[in-house]
Amino acid sequence: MKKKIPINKVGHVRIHSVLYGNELDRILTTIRHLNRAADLAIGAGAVASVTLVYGDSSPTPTFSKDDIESIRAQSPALACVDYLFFDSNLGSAKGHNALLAYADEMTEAGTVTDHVLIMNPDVMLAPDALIELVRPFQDPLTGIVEARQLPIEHPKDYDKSTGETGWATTACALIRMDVLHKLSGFDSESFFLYCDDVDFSWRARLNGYKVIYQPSAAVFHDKRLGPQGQWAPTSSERYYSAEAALLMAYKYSRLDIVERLLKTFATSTESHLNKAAESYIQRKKDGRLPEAIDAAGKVAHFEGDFYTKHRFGL
Amino acid sequence: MSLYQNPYHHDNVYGHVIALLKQHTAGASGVHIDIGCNVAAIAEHVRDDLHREYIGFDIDGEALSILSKRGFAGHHIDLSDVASAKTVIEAAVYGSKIASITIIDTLEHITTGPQLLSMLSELAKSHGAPLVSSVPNVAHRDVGFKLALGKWDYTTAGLLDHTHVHLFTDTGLRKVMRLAGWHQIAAYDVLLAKSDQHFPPHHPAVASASALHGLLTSLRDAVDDHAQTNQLVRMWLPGPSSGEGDIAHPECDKSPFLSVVTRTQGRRIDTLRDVLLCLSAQTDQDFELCIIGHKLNSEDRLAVERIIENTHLEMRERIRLIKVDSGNRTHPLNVGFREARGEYVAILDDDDIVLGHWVEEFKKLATKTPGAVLRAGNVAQLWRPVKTAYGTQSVRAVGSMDACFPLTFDHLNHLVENASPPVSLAFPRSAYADLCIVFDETLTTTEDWDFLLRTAAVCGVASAKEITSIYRRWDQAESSYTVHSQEEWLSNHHAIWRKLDSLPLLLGPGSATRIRQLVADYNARHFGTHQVLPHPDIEAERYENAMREDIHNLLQSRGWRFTSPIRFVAALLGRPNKYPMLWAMRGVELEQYKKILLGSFSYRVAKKLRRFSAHLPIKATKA
Repeated sequence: MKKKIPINKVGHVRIHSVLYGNELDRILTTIRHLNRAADLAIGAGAVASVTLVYGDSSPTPTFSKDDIESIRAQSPALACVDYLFFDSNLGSAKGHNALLAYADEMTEAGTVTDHVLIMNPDVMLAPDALIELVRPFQDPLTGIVEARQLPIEHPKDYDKSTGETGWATTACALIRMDVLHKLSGFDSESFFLYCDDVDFSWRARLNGYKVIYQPSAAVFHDKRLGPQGQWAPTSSERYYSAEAALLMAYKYSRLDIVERLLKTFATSTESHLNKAAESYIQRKKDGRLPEAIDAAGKVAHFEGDFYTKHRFGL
Repeated sequence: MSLYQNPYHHDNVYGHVIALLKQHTAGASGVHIDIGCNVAAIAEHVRDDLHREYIGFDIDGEALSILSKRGFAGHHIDLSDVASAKTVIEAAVYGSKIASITIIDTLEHITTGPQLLSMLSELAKSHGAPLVSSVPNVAHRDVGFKLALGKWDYTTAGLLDHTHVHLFTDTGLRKVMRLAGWHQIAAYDVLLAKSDQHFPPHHPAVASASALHGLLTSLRDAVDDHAQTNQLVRMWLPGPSSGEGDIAHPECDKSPFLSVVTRTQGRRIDTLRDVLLCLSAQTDQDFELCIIGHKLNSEDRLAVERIIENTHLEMRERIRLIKVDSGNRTHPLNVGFREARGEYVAILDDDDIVLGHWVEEFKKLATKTPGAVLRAGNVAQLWRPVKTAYGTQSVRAVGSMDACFPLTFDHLNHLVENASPPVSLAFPRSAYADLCIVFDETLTTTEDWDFLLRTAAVCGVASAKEITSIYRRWDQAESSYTVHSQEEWLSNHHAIWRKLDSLPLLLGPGSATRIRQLVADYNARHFGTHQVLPHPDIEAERYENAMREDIHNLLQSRGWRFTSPIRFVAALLGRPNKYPMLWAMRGVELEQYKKILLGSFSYRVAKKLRRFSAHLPIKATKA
């Protein structure tokens, strides 16, 4: 008989997802997966309840009232399904902070949240993903637990024994609510779409929390490959990554990297890199650069273009 | 009906009918009724061999008159009016027990066949009487091959008698009979390699030495055993009615676009979970999933059932778990393809990964190139098992995406080796279900390559360059590469090549240029002279010689000689061991001999000895 691994319990979980022009059909497929994962997690005693909240940065509302009613009716395992239309594109960090503020309002109204699952709206959970994500919180120092993405696994390295990793991508990560409060959410002043999760992870680690990668928590994140099997980011993804790279280097006291990147970006023939360099310079002129931290390099790890060692190239 | 004065002969339809009756109803007493008896070629044999009273029924007065002159009872019957026909039969039988019934070469002449057969079934039930029927087989290759090329030749008699109004095949006949309440218990068909439709004799479709005939025959013979059946002679017993007859075709009803066949032995539950997740997240959900649980023990079966039960309702409703407890790793594929209901069937093993548009891209390609084998882009990636402190068993990617498979299918390259992982392919189900191109269960590896080559030769292959799947290579874990020996892989390769050489090969447009250039290049490499081109016999001989040398070296090795006492004891126990006649053995025999040798107790001991002593090399010392 195979040995059963005991289930961990984490209380009330709130799922936050920020929409921007997503297809309704795909969101509904995501919700079907969520509902089943919640059902199994509640049944197993891993969580007490699961609430789903969407924040919508799209130009027009993705859901109608009827859509929300229909989703609620078809998702009996979700204690509540809420929807906030932001009426402007807040990006990832600000969008999630807005949802956290809403969670605080709900707490005041009596709805408790112990953990928040931050995930992209096109991520589909394996049925046991919530149960698996909850397990590492047995360790009181665990602050964030990240899921393994399919079909293309993230290449960043992690400890094969402990699961500890340098940072967690919030494509799908379960975070303790008290950690979110302690760190005042995401740095939305510095990061629009990318690296808000790297920054959050590093700040969590600076505060003594562990960031855990949980390979047994599988989720599907619909990414595609180019003809040679390479991952091909879009031009806007490349721009926001470049912009975030400069800010990360500055925030984590690596002016040498800032200098090198600025030089490379400014002389590049790729317009998105030129634009990223210009944006950084303007921000500097405006005095909108973040406060520099981790001067001793305790958690910040810049490895080429990456923020931790990678197991393989993509 | 016309008058058909065909005589009785032991190897024609009449002889076969009597043989069936003799074999299965000997000793039964009562009357024999012969519906549509014509001149009653079997009447004397029913009387003399079966010792039954013969009663014939026909609409043709002249035929009945001939019957009467021979001293047999004959009754006028109009089979287009089944109710009246029943009255006539009941009156003729007049309370006697019906021992047996025949209806020979009659059903094809009437439009009321189903009703007549139902009536006869009801009549036969109370007597427990069997029925022997005979109908011409319209699926004889002479008819089918000519029709495929636009030729349909009515004749005054025979397979395409101009008076036939209902045409039968083996399957069609069974459907008609089942609906009418008849259940087949025996068959003794009349075979004719050259039927009365074998004309013109040198028509490329029917002439036995033509390349076209060879190709068509290789395909037709795979479908069923009736390519040369002239008349379907069957014996039936009455019973309940079932099925929908031969006019309804439920197989054409709405089916999912894709059937996904997933083999699992229940050992990789974590990767099976990944597979199910990849499928439930597809952008196109027009598929069903057949999970073939192969030789699952009770614990693994429960684990697989739990994984399925865990999926959300819409997904779960499209999954079927089919348990298979026999056969090698190829057998579950045949079971899966047989169970599949989709227009296309794809193999997704329990350790591969598909991207979100795997089904969608196959469907797009099928719309553009219906009926072709579909092939989408694929990359390989190295993975390892992993288990962290707080996690259950899982896997981790350890290598980059390796674009090691060409993005388009090349038939000629595929003759050398397989460059298409199963997960990159979808096969038209009809090729399996209707042409009976099945997986070869004698192969223990590369069964997918063999199947692809045979299906591609008939269907062609359409490629999409979009990458839709990841073939997982395993490091530090079990895979088919670790489970099967090099010898096994090699012998399977040769088995496939032998099979390819035994059949005509259909290549797609453009292949002539490829072959022309390959041959020209080969000639140029051999000093511009016309050398002997590669030939299957030469290749087979080289392979066989290499194997003979291997076996000889093994039998002459010091390790093998050292274990001779074991074989001496075996010989005393009645299992003599002589040096084999290697020179007389061919490929398959040599493979089998080598396999036995490598699996023998002597070899295992010799192998251990080699491990213990570096001074006892098992490699041969040549005599």
